[in-house]
Amino acid sequence: MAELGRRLGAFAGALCFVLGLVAVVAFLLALGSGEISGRGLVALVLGVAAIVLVPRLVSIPRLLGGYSALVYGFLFAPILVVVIFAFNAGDNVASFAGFSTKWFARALEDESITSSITRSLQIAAASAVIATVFGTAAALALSRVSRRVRNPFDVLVFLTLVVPELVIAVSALIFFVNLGFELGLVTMFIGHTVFNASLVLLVVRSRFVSMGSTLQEASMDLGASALATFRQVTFPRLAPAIVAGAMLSFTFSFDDVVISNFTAGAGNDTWPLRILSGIRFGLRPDLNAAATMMLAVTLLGLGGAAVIMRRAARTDPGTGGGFGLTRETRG
Amino acid sequence: MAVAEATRAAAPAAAPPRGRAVGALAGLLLLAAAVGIYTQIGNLGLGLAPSVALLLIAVPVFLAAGAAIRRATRSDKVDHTGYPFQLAYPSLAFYCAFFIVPLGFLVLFAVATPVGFGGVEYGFDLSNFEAGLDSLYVETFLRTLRTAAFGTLLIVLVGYPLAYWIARYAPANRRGLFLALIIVPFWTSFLIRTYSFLIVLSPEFFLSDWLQSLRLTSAPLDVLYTTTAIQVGLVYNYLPLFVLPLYATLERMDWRLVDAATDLGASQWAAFRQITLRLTAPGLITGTLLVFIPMMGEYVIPLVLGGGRVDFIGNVIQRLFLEAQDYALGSALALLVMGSLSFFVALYLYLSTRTEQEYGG
Repeated sequence: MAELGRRLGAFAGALCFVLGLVAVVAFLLALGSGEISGRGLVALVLGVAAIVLVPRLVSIPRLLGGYSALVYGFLFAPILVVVIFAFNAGDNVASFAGFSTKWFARALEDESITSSITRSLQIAAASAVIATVFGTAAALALSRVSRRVRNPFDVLVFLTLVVPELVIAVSALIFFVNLGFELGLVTMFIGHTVFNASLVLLVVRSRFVSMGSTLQEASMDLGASALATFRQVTFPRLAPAIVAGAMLSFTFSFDDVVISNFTAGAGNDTWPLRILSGIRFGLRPDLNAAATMMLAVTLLGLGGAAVIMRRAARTDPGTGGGFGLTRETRG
Repeated sequence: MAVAEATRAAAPAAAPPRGRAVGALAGLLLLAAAVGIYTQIGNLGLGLAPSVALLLIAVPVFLAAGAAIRRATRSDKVDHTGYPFQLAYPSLAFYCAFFIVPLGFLVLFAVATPVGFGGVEYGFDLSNFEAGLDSLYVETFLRTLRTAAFGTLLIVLVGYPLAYWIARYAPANRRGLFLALIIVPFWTSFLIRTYSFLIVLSPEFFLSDWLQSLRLTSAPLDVLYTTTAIQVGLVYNYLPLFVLPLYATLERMDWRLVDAATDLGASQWAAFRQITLRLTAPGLITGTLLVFIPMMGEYVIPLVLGGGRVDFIGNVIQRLFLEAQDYALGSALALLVMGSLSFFVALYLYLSTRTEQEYGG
């Protein structure tokens, strides 16, 4: 109980501290524009008092903890708002007019929503698969080549990551239009995959470099072919990085607005593009409902995956690289 | 394509002079053939799928030919212990066909003359850049720069204490959970998260009433469709992108150094400034760049939260392409933005190599 009280105190302290900072900054800004009011002076005094007193009353770790809770609140509040307004009975997205689940049914019936989600899923899945294969292969190939070959390639990968997405999207549009490509799912897939391949390459390569080459050399020395070594030694140990890369690719592609907006053509709205047109031409809570359902599915899926992985790790602690190696040494 | 060929042609540096000349000549011929194929691919009348296939196949074929030439001129000493370099061909082909060549098209369009609606006449015409440096566009660019810089500063102020707390004070067995909580917002669509600020910041929402009844504001909240709203949206969306790389460096911190400093009489603040801040500089720099560059090219957040009343340079480019169909001016503007950003990238590379040399990574 005392612990809870202390935590609440830290939270309140952090809140006071941040509000105090805001008050002081606001006063300074008002000072700059020459508008000083009595209320502003009171706010300044209270703000300074909060900034001076709070760090003395609450220990730094607790204060930081309370502050972090505030930031987490900031991160989750908008999502909470979207979920709550999915249950809005009214048509207006900004004022809550009673509880209703009707928008969920409407969202499921709306063909433009369901087909856009399907399109996004198709593109994201295709892009994740191809980017993972390309990126992983390149990461393996680049690990052992001379600097003369690797450096230009690294520059290329770096470029695909630092060139603003808008520039990539624009140049892709010019390119596709001029070569007579019909804009659609394929062109969106191509646009996403450029970035995703680099993403996978970076993730997989950092893991590949950090795991060293001793086990692979041992496997080769003991007579395994390059393919067998890859299958039984390298791949199992790389798998977490490959899965992470694939998931990052899928997420990026599924959520991408910029490249899709330029390379979609007419009538090929993905889910983000459908939301964008909703924002432009009038919002209704059915988008909230669809987003809420998707969030629920994602959380359930990932939660389930986490439970399965934890159980698998508990029942069979020897999974991973070691298993393949022991089998290889016996054979 | 051009880059790949150039490296191939330049590679046989250690070869005997005659072999090198033959290799360079063959490389140039290959380059010419490749350029020819690329410029003609649209005129062949192929469908989408065969064109893509041709584009993808062309690069590995040329690379294989280049490798064969190098081997023939006997300058090739391939390291055979690892995976074959051929594994990199698919992604190399992909990058060349769908990244380098499109960028080439962008440059080509930036110096072309616009003709009619959406058409261009190829040539070398710098008037697009002149039009792009018009005071209207420069002003928009400067506003973008200002907003992005201030947004980056806010993100650092908001994100650093959070990452610091997770790395140093959060219970060790829950650190993964706290990190995951930073990523969870990414699982809702970015646009949904952005548009929820349309609700939160709207004067009809209860936040506006609260602020009024607390006497913090005198009138209903009026930040929607202003730079302030865009600023909030930028900070919200890019915060996780800053916290994660920063956490990666904070996690490697040896906190005993800080304890030692305070034991030896340094104040908490001095210890933070002289030890923690310097040791986490690489992560800080990476995180800052990671949020600043995309913010400069951002056009979706200003579109949603600015409601078309506040433009970023990205909005201008987007309208030039998708509405005005002025590809030439749009390309020139895109190149100008990219050029000015390359200054920051160069600064980043300089700073990161310097901190690496000073503190050993």
